[in-house]
Amino acid sequence: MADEHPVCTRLHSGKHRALKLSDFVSLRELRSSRIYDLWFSRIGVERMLAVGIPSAMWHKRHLVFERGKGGDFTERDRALLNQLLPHLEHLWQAARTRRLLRASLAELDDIDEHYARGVVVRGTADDIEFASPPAVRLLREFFPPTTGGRLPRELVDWLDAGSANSLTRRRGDRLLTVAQVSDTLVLEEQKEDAKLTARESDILFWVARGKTNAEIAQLLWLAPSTVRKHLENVYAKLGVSTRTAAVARLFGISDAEAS
Amino acid sequence: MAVLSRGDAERLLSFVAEAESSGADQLFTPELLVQVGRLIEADWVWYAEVDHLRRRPLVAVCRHDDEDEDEED
Repeated sequence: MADEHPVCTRLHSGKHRALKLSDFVSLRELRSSRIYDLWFSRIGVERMLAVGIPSAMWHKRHLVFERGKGGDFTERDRALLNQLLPHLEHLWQAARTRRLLRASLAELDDIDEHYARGVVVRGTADDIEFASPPAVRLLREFFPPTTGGRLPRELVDWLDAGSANSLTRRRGDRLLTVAQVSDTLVLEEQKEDAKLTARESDILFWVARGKTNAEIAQLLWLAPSTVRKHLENVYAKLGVSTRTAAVARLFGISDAEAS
Repeated sequence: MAVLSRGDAERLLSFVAEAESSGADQLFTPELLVQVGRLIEADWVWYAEVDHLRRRPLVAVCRHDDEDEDEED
């Protein structure tokens, strides 16, 4: 039936100007048409003003104004809708961008803070518009004391200097690299191989496979207290406090993935 | 072609400014259609998105007072 609709057929063919039903048929002609019996009379519409909003060929977007019996839309209405059209297009794009950004940020929010890469979206001056959980942790650990919501002074100075090269900062055996991509800072933590002893590596191997301290003690012919002592050393070397985090750090993955 | 009156131009700019400041994820909401219906008087105001290739509706929004319920998928 849309194929018989005088306005729909024009809108679907890619016309992006405001069109009135009366541009194509008089009221008398409309009332004697098949589509009037099938459609317009049933919904009580006799006047129509519509505009197609520019979009991909497969994706049609229409804003439609309809009236029942009464006066037609005026040229003032048409002019106003035509003036409104570019604004609607811009507003729609802005809303779509916001939707996509919110979805992306929600995804970033779900990332465990122990993940090795984080992003910071800069606001005005040295404000932080958004920081993913890993970025919050990395800023806290590499730039103490951090002030909530503001970039550390060292990062601001680096940005003010042009940030042509990545900024690196070392803390123990951990290395942080900061790179600027547009208004976003990408923070990535790298860790030098923790120098675990052969015995500590053996124990962590079994920890990663879900064995308890008692089971590991049996497997390696050790006392459980010795296993526990070795694990304490592993925690200290890796800078963690749980067996899950130790495994995560060793393999460079987040705690959530390791558990 | 009709030229907008000063009053219409001001109303249009005011509408655009308000829509811009909303910061909403969806532009075409029943509330926006109420606003746009104040610019151009009509018995029914609605917005639709259609997948033209598959000939199926994607989004349909109307003013709350125009229909009993909105349809959207």
